[in-house]
Amino acid sequence: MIFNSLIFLCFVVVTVIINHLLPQRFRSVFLLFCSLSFIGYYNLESLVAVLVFSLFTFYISRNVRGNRVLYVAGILLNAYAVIMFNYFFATREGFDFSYTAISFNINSFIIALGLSFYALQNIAYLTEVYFGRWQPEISYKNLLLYNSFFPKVASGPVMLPREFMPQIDRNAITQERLITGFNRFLLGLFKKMVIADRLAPAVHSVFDFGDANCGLTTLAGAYLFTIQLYFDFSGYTDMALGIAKMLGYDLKENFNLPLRASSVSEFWRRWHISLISWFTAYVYYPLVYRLRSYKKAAAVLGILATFLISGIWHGIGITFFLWAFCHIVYLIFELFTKRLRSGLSEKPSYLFYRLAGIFIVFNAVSFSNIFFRSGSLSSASLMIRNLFSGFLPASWLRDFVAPLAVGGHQVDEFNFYISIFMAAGFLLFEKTINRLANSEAFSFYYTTACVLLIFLLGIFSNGERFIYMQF
Amino acid sequence: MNTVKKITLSVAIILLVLAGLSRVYDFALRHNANLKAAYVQKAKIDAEILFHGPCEPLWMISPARLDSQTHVRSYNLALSHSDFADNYLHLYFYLKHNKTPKLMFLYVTPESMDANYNTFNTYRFAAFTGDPVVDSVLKDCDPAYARWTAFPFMKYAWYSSKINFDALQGLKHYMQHRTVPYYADGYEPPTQVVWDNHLEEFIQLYPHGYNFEWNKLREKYLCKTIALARQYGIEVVLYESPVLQEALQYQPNRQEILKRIKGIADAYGIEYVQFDKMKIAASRKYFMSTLNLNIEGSRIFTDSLGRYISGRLAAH
Repeated sequence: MIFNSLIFLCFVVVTVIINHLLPQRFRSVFLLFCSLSFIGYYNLESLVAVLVFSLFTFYISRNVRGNRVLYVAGILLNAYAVIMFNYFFATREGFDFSYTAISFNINSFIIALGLSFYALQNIAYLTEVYFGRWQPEISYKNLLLYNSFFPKVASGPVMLPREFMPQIDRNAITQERLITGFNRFLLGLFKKMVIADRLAPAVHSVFDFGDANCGLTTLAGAYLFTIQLYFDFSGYTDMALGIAKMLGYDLKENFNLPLRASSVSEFWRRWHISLISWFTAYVYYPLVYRLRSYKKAAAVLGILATFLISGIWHGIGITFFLWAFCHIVYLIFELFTKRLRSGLSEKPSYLFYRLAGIFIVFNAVSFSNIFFRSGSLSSASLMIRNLFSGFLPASWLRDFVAPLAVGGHQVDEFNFYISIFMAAGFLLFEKTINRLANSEAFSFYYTTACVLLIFLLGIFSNGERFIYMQF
Repeated sequence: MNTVKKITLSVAIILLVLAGLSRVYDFALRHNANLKAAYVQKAKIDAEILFHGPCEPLWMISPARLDSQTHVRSYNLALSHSDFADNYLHLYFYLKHNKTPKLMFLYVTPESMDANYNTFNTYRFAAFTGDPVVDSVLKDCDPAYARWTAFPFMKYAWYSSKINFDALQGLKHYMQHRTVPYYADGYEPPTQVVWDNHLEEFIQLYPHGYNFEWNKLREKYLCKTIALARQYGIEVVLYESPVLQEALQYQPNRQEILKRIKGIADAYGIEYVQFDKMKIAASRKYFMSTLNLNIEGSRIFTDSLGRYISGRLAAH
């Protein structure tokens, strides 16, 4: 069940109602049942995976305190699971193991839903227990719920034990939480169905059929993918946080206006916050602390390790390596030019500096996303070649519009312009919209406008799978 | 106003607006002259010959060119990317509101029997739900859609990206009192003139060839289309237009599927005319892709078809 399907909406409504009516002591068991049903509905392999890996982690955690061998075994087990389970493709002919990058192939099939995400949670949990910062769970049920909690199982946010566990059996459901959760969920649906899914055809036409695109079209395609990815992933996150709120749980924020970042390091403090926090806590800081005597070299190594592992986590493939490499270069550049840039920011033209920074960061991120989105090195190379040759040919207007409008028919052009208009409008007023979505008061105008726009402009049928579901 | 009242008011306004919008869309889509499903129910086309089927006839058969040879009025009812269920409903709409034609040429190829080619375009019929024939086909071909359309406006929301523009255009046509479509005789000239490399990509995907898969639902609606036409006393001729011969080696079971199509034609006592042996089939010069003739190829084929039809009409 994908989040923007009608069957999932019915599932959520029923779950929230029953959860609200149940006495507190039964809620965690009920939510565990719902979560396992959600995962099992996806496929049996995912259900088996979450049960088995949670069980292994549970038993390891019971004896891991101070036991380095067991600790390393627990980490390797979860890392192995991510690598082995994520790189099988199910095709019409059967399962196929591939070392290539995960392609944005609608026929590809994820064997174990959410494994990449809860494997990170398991590693965090074992680490906290190993170092004595967290007590091992005495209840397998709690650990299983931590991993399988259905609002976040598919694509996070990645939660640390201290952020999630205390909420089990102690969550309060109030009218304000129900309303805030609902508002947030509605926002997520809007972002996903009205903006992200509408941009998908244009992105698809540039990346997957863009052999002869001019540079301007290629650049526009890269921009659109960055925007699509943002609305897709943040939309999913909004829905996850909204549902969790209605069930009495607070999940971690994953985005904080990342497209307004004026440096790449700021971007990474605002984008996929839970994942970067995890890498910062369990890869970057331990490494930099250990090598602290090497000063800047330690920071460079920390950046290298963090992003290389992040690249592998996203996919074992040259394109993800190149995506990670781009960000490594950007961050190292910023590390060595920090003083110069902070000097610039103190000048009177700070607004210009900030706008220029936002523009540069957006371009840098979009360039790296060419690798992230391309299904292969050859298609990424082709796109980059197109970007730098024949940028603005004589027939640029026709060449620019036609592929983005997917064939150039009026309907497709109309849809394309609507999606651009909605995305631009949203990004301009994002702060205000976010404030409405986080309001504890029911807003007649916000709710009515969201619902009507979803019905009028949302993509219901053939809705795109969430992009981050494949990681 | 307390929260419960606000929520109730919001739900009521939403349902009211959606119900109202549904009515507006019904009206607008039925007035869009460019939508064949709407146009054939409003205009008095009254053609003597119909050309029907998925994509290829749409941009290969020019009634204007054909009529000058046959001296009989024809109309191109074909639709892009459509399957036989789609064709069946369009024929149903046409026959409800127009004089029964004498002859119908229905394009049938192995590609049309395979569900990997073309599709049932549910959104074309959103404005015509409530008709039992339409509803039964929707239930058959798009059960998910049929299930959810009880909710106000959902029948349009479900395929909004396909429908919104058509609804706006329909309102524009209504305000301009426009009743004639952009392509008045149903024929849409092909936009492409150059080879589209479809065959090269096909060979890359299927280096050992592609075997067509016979789809039962396609067969069902092919038979229903023939039966519907026969019910109105229309003489049906199934046909296959020229196929690029170079592509045939990559379709190992093409002849087998053609035999099955011939079997259906024989069961109904109708002809299956294959134009695959025409000289133009040997050269890419006349094709945009393996099945689609370009403008030059279409002209030659239309002339050939015109001679065939003239001969047939003279014989009868």
